[in-house]
Amino acid sequence: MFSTALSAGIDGMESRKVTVEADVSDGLPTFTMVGYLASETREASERVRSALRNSGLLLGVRHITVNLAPASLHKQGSSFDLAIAVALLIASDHLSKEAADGILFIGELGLSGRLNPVRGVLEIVSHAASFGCSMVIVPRQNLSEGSVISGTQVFGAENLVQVVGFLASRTGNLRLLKELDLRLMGDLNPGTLYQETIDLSEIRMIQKEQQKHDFSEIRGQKLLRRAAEVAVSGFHNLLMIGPPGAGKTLTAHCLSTIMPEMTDEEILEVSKIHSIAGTLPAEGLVTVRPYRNPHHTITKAALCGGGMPPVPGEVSLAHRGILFLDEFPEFDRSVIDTLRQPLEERVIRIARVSGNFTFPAGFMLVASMNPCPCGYFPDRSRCSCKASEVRRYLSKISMPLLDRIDLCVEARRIEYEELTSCPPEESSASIRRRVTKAIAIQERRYRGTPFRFNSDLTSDGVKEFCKLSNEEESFMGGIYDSMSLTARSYFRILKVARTIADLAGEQRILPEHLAEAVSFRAVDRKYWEDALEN
Amino acid sequence: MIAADSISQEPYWQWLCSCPLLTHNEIRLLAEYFGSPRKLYEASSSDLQVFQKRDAKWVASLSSYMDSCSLEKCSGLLRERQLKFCSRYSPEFPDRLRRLPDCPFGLFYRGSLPDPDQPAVAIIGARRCSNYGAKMAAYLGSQFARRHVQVISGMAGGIDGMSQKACVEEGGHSFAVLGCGADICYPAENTRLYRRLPEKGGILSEYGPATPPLPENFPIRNRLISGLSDAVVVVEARKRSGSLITVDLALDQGKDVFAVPGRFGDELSFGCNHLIEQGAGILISIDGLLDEIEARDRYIKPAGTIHTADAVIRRREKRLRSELQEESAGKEKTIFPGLSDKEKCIYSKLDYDSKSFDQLLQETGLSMMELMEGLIALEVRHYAEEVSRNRYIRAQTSVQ
Repeated sequence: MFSTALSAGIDGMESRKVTVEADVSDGLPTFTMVGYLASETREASERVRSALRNSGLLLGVRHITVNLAPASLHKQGSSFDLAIAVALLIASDHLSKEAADGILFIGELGLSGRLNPVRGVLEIVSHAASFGCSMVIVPRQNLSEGSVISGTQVFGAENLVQVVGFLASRTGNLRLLKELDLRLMGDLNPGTLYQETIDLSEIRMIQKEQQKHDFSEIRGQKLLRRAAEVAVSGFHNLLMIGPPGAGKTLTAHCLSTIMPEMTDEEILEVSKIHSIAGTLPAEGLVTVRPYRNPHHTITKAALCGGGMPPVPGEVSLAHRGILFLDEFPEFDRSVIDTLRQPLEERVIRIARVSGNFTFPAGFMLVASMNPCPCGYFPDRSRCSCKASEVRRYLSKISMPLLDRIDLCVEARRIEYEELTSCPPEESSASIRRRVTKAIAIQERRYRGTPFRFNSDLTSDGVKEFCKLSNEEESFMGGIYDSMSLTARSYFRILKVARTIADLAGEQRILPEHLAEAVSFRAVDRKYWEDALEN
Repeated sequence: MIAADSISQEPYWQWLCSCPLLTHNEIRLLAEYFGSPRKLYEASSSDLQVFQKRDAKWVASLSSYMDSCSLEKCSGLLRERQLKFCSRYSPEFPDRLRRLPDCPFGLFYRGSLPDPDQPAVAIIGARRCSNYGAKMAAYLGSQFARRHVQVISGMAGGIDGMSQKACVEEGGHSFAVLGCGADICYPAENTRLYRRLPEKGGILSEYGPATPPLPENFPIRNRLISGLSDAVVVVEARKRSGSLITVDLALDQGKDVFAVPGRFGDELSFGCNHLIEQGAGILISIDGLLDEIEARDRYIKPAGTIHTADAVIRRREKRLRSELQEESAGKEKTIFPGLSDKEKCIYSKLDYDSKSFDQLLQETGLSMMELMEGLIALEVRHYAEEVSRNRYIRAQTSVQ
């Protein structure tokens, strides 16, 4: 007999409906799976067969064929197991045809019949309605993320028996319900499944408390703290230069705590990516801005996303949050250079023979580096690096990428007295209030334009939104000549000055804002050449 | 004894000194044994057998050099490398060096040799120097250039290079003595300086063409740096610095040694302060140093008049008096025209050692905004300089 059940898989960032067709007939006892399957998907035959038997559901000696349609879509992953099991139960007359109507099945089966969690549940559930399903059954561990989407009923199950019990009672199949092993029902009443309601504000609170660091821990570094605030307020990329132990890593870690809280849409957007990558926290949602700090041995595929079909890389996992590259010059230059496109477009496009995949990549880049191999340059009483060594170290940095970093600040070594005697610094929460205000100003200003933050401004945008009056114009003129700026660095200074003015709540950019922006101005090749000349 | 006969020996000296495997002592040994380099050139390899016992390998390579390199080939090589040669018996050879007990047998050079009638001062110091050291080296280099004093140094990174760069930029005459062949730019980072030096000065070496920069060569060439100079100025030196070797050599040669004083506790100034403790001259003004040289009757004016020590002292007193008067009269007016009080306050806290922004914030007591504006105003007017991100030093040197 022939039957179908619905499931879905992830292709890049999107979910695709997959119809599982099962045919059970008399003949040689084989289990054939077709439909352009990856090996882990093909292995479902063994998992499903054992799971059914160990759940007390016997198929008998039959010829079984399972097809996953559409056959043109390459299917991978183990999320189709549950749908295959249900389709087989219908085909072998354990369940009636109507039992699986309008239900989407997602989950991997263990040999015992246990349901294991899978990736991408959030994305799949959000599209369940468009697949013609009003109900989704997912593994219990995926229930929280599944329950986020309103309008679709989502049920969680721990094992196959619970699912079968639910389907049997749905169609009034009491005979099957009686045959089931009640011990496997757990704390459920036979015929029901787990359901959950999500309290977003509670998750926000739990995750906020889990954040380990706060800005008040960064002692003494007044300049660094200010640069961090400015960078976050305009979503500018930031470079920190300083000796080891100056607190660069701590600052990067804390940056996400002063960024404005994520809106509900942002939470959903970010959680979907993490759901697909399998990095969702237990609460089922990501409510604090992501902070990703990949090690410098990272490969291109891990940074940008890769595999076949591609899965999101670090740039996508850092979407709406921070991507921190510690020891910037140590990263492989060819790997780092791949960041150029996502930094411009805020998405990353991965082209494969089978098609193009686009992942979101709207991250803020924070990089840190030592000024020289030993870390103490230009303090010559401690730095023992030769000029040629410093040059070699710096030549490892990708200059095109450096061009995309608007702010640069020194992180200096903190003396012991400062650590102990310094009064407690301002907390993340109070900085965040200022940042949120500055970002709200930008949102108002850029409504109806392609820009979102000051850092997005193109040179035309700078001319339109960062107008200078005569006084400021002449101030910048003096700086332009005496510091031999380039056109590119000039525009970046204006963008940062715009953010500083927004922080101060000023309509116009004033000389003091320009002065501060100049102090944080980005570095280029010439900067180090000059330092070495001295 | 070596026959110091005449100019006719010059090509043979050039040939002998170009031999890449001979040390100073070995050249002496050969020249003394054969009487003159010409006789060595004309000798057959059997004549070298006497040295067989000394070092067979050495003899073998020497005789292969004798067989393979003719006088013409040698001078061709030098032409190709744009090198000139001058033996110690040539009239052009610097008199200052001739007095040395281990005077080199010849010098290879690009550009010219130091002018014996003009004063010459060696500026030496640490390769890894502080901002203060670099500023002082550049200051001295340009000041000497203005006063037509030739600057002798080793073209190393740090103090050496900085002083020579400044001297060349000011249009002065500067001479580098290298520890490798004069046709090799070492260290490579000073390529620009290496190219510019021969325009008005020169690049000198006692080592033949293509000699690599061997570490053992450098202490030996140091005697030439001090030897070519009337006085040696040490700008920055650590406790155990190579510059102190040059100082010892200079003292052996009877040259004046001056040290640029540093602060107590500065690692990079320990060597200098130690020299001062031991009686070296303290360099506080350029003219004071030049007077000192004059006073020792080494510095003869082109007119040929020798200044007596008395006259020098009188002149110095006069100058000091006028300087003091100038200072008290116009201090407020001339220093920092047009700086606001805040800017003056920031400037006063700046130093030749870089200070971080936070440190200045603490010392000046200004707000972050005020300090940023002030620093930029100072930077624009070249009173301050940002040496690395958010670290500032005093830029305008006030040691005039």
